Amino acid sequence: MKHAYGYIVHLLCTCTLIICSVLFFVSCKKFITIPPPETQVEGIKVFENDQAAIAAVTGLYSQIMQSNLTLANGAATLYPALSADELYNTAPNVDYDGFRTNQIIADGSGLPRLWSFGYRYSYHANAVIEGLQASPVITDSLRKQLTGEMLLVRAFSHLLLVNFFGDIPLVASTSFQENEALPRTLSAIVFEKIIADLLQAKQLLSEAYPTASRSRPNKWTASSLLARAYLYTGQWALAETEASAIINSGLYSVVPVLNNVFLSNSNEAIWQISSVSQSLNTTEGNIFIPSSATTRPAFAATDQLLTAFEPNDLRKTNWLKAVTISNQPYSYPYKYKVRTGAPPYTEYNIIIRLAEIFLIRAEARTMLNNTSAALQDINIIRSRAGLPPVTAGTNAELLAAIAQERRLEFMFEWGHRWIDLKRTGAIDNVLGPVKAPNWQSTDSLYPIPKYELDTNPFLIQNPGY
Amino acid sequence: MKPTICILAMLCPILSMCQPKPITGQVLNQDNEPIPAATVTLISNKQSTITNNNGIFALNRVEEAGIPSHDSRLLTLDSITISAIGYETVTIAVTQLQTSNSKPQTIILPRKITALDEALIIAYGTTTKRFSTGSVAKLSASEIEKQPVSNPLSTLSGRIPGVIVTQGSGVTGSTVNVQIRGRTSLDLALSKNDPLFIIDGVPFESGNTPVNQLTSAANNPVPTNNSPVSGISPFNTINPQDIESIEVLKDADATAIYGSRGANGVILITTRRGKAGKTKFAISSYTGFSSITRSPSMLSTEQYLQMRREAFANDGNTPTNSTAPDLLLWDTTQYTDFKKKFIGNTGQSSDINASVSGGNAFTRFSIGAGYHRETNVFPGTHSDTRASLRLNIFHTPASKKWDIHLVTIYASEKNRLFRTDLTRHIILPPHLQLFTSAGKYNWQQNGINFSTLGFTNPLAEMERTYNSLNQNLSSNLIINYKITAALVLRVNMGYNTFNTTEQSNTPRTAIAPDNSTLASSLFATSTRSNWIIEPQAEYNAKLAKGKLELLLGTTFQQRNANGMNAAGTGYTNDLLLASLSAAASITASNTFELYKYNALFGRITYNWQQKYLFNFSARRDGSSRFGPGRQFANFGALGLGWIFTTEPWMQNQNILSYGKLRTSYGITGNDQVGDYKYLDLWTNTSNPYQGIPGFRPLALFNPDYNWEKNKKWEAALELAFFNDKLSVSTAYYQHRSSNQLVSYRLPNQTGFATVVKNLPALVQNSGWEFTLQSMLTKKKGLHWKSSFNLTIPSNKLIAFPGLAGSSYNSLYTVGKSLSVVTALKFLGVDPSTGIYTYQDLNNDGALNAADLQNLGHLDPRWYAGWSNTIEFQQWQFDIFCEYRNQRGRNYLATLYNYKPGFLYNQPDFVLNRWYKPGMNSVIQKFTTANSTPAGQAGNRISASDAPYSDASFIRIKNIALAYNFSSTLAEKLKIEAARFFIQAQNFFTITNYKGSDPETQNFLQLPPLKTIVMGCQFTL
Repeated sequence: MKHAYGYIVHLLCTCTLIICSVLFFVSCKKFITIPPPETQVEGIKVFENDQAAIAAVTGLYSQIMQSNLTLANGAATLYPALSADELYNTAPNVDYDGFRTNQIIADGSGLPRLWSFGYRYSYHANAVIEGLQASPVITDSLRKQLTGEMLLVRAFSHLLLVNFFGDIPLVASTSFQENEALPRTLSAIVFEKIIADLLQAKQLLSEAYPTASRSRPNKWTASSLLARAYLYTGQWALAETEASAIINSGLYSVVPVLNNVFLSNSNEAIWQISSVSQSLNTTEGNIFIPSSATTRPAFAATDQLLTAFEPNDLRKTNWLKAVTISNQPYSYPYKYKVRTGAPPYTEYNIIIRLAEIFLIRAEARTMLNNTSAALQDINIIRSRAGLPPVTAGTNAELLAAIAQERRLEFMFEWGHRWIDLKRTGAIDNVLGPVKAPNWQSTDSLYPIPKYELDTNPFLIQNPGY
Repeated sequence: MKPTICILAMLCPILSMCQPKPITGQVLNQDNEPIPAATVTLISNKQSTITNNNGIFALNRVEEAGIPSHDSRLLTLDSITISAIGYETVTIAVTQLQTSNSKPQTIILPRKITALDEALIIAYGTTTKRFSTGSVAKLSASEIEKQPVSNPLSTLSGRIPGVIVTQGSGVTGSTVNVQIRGRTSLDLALSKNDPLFIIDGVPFESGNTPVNQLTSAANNPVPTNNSPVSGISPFNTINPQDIESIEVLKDADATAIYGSRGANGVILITTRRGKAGKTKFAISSYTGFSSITRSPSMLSTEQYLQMRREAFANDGNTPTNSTAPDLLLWDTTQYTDFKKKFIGNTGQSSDINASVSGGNAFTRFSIGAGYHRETNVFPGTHSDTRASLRLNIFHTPASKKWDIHLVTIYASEKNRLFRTDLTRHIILPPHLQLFTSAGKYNWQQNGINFSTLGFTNPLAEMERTYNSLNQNLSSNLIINYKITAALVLRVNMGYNTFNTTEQSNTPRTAIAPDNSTLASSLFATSTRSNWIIEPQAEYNAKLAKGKLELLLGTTFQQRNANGMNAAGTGYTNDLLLASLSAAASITASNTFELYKYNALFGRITYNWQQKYLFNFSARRDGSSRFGPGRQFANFGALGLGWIFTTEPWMQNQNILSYGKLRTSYGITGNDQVGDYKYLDLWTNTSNPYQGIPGFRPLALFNPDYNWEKNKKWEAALELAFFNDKLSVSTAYYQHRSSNQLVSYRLPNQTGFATVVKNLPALVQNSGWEFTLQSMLTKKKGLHWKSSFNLTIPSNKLIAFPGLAGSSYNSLYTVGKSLSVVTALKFLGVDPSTGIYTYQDLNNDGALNAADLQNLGHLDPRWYAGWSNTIEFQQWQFDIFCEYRNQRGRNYLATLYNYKPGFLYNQPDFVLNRWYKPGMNSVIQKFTTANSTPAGQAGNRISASDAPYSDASFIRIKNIALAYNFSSTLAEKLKIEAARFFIQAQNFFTITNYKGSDPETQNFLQLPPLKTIVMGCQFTL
């Protein structure tokens, strides 16, 4: 009897175990399968619908403007202006001091603002391009336009990076497995890729801007960046053709009043990017303009820049503002005139404008020995600045005049001065004496951030760091 | 439960004239299992024998002169004693063995209850130290309640071998990190190797992750590379006075049943339960003060100015208004000791706890309530307050067929702080004026805005408030149903929810006038909940000569987390900062997470005659944190034990009262990688662009990551001497973590800096753990209990295929510890030039990556804790010391960027600097710029081994002195008991550490606080 009871217990026990196990294996797989989070969306879904695909593209512009003093939101203006002979910081600051004295520390806080953000833009652009490619449902015209925009942003980001760092890893997909160990690509090949991207973008984009403002690129934006890339690579004829096409499009004009050039409705702008902040219009305006008339500006124009102006150059009085604090005179950048302001914004950050196209064409034409046409182009810019026209001279004189014009027209704009000094080979002669005793010719390239070298053993630091 | 001793004797007929028959019997334990090798002694002539394997003995009484063996008179007066290791000694009169029955006799020995037999709570059950095959350490209420701390994890500090507890910061409510048996994580900033925390059977929802979404003063103001995440600790919602015990499970045997969650060890927290007996009402309360433990003094204005002038002279520069406003423009007669002003105040703590408990054999209850308030050493009255409640009810019917047990704890903690730890501002120049002559916050001095110098006004900074309300509710219901005496069905149902509401206001007064930003407010809420259902079946049986326990169960667990974050900006005045709708513009975001977990687990425990112990546990886990096809994994462990003191050959000695050899091996895992990481996800951008909302890729995703495995092996020897008065145990462990899941560091060229990935690295933590416990009782009521533990850990990266080509190349070296310092060798100051020099390893004239060397590690070399309890009559005195022998980050690790000579104050040991050729000094010559030779040499400090130096310390962690009312006095007062006490935490520290505190190792973060309280406790 007792024996039988024990048997029942054993049986019961075993049954329970079996039932438990069966229940488990039936239910568990279903139990732990979860839907994607409600506040996020799977990548594949983003490209199943035109509106969502547009949001993926505008998302990139929003990301570009999300943090102040990042690559295309102030950093590409401020840091090279300090490295060249345009600006100085008026109070000690470890980050700015490094750039100003050309003693950049590879693990400083400024470099990642340039490098990391450039690649973040590329990733986003690549993700959209891949998404659009894989999606069967996006309207064809929209697919073209969005792909064009993303190719253009990718090229733009590479163009900034290659100018500051020299050879850079060239990233063309979102796969981290492919990208994590990429070494640096020769800058000549990077330029080829930039030009290829821009040519494709030019083909895909239409002449009309996608929205009412010029805050998203059109075909001419691709052309203008192409013109810039051709200029940087010495492809003069191509540069001239692109520049002429933009000028002849009739869409743009040189704004006669200097103080109106950087407004959000500027007709000179080929591509501008609008703020997403609730309190400021442009990072440039925000960091350059001091908070009150008695406050010392954080950054001021160097003596070299101030003495470079010809007399009566309107740009000196309109695009710089002089103040005296504690008996010390300062001139601070004043192209953007709004320090703070909630939307609607009156100023957008101009990435590329018609004045540059004229000066690109002038330089290309000089190189192609078309001096008279070059002179016309220079003088358009000079006359707006209230300066008398330059007259014919040797090619070298003309190039010097163009360099001078570019220096003043594009002061504190996207590192033009720094990049121009480098590409024309004048950098050692110009900055050597100014930045003595710290200047070394290897300073013309910024160091790759230390973190990048640490995480990618295939990256080799620029010489001199 | 009193043992019943049933005696039936079988002896030869007393008056038999034949050969005398032996005295025989069978010795059994309470479970009716034979006790072999028990000693049986006849009292009259000390004649003895031992029991055989069946517990049977036969004692032939030898004749003595003049006394016939069959003398019934004498025989009936005689007695035998039976003793066995681990059992109480029993004495029985021989006559009691008399019986007419011819069956063999049984004598039952009750088990001896010593410290070895105290209940230890383990996964899904209990055991004792005696029979455990795993490594389980326990901290009991008596040790917890003597420590006046608000975070229960702090009470573990130094008390458990193999466990390192580090307070993140001295700020009230900040995180306390717990690491069990070393670091396995290759990236501490992302995974701290947090153990699994289980409170009364329910996984603690937040683990040990900071609960705040908004930045508060509890966060590390200057996070260094690899510094653990800090913030507001979820454990502040657990009242340490509610805890009955904390068990720390370390090895595979103890943790493998937690499968994928057990890799970093498990900490079980059990709250107080009611005991049968008279209803007790207890109330206890204390109050006291806190101040910082340790912080070096800073330069005075005079010394500071001298440093600055000397720096300019060294650089050959003349100070100008723009390079030296502090020398030329500011009032150099001013002096404020900012250290004293910001962190030199006295904090207060007060605590009150009340409880009622009692019950009978069928129903038991315990109800408690507590209130704790602590203020900090910052100026003003910022406080951290906690109100807590707990309820514990147990009931079983008279049949004891089933029982039900409900445990609920609830606490609400309110932390009023501000946004940033003021400690980071103690390096402001000492003559900086924080107030204008009109008594307002100063933001500029002689036209130089603080902001252009990178300063803020710290006192105004405090107006940036941070308030959080954290609420924790944890409830667990256990129902047991006995189908038969052997088979019990059980279900464990738990629910835990943790809600946080935060608000941080930045009024206009906290913003410099030159900054145009308007007032703003940040709001955050998070609701996280976790439910768990664990049906289990437990089966107990006798199998051969042993006891078999089978456990089978399954777990269903789900976690939901919702967060909401809103920022209101553009407030034109400070009146309605708490109102979100008063903001000119609002940006908001919310998050959502779901985690589901399912497991099948089982355990087989077999105890053969209390001699051989066998324990096998296994678990199959399924987790939603892995991509399709990778959701399931198996874990398991085997533990073996041998109590050799129960062997017959160990019976003829009385020194060693207990000895056990045990070993365990098993595999545990880790799935702490965050949810959804295998999915390609996009999210919205924070702001729309031109009115069109945008999407952005959230992160890199990796559909292929897999389970992390941690193989643990341990062997231990446990000994007890002199009736368990002295016990010693030694354990060697070796944990190997492979296929580690990490947020893999990637170069930014991939678009992001990390991705979740398995690393092929193999990390080994091994070490020795020793404990020694002694209990001495002298006459006149003097008791001395002492306990010492020592851990000698070792951490090593055994293998890392592809390290050279990976992003970890610069951080780790195969064969070395994970905390290896790979740096330039710092050679001190060159007496001729006065600047720092470093070893140029390859003599190529340049200092670069080729000159980096492995220069030791930062793991503790050994750590120990020593506690002493001395009781004398009515007095009780406790002292607990913690020792840590380690190398750590000194002040240079946080201050290297602020070089001596810059526009920042310095600790006063920088005065030992170079100022004339030929002199030997520790600090190089002062300089004002990074570009000078001294500045450039100083830039290399962070890449050298100079920021690492000895950070060993001896800390009197806790002192408690108590006076207990004598029972006669208590009786007179008609109370059960009463005591008065003084307690001190972090009382005193001996160290050579260069910096503030050797535990936190961060110069710009508030060091831990020293707290001294006094109070009383009454039981009615």
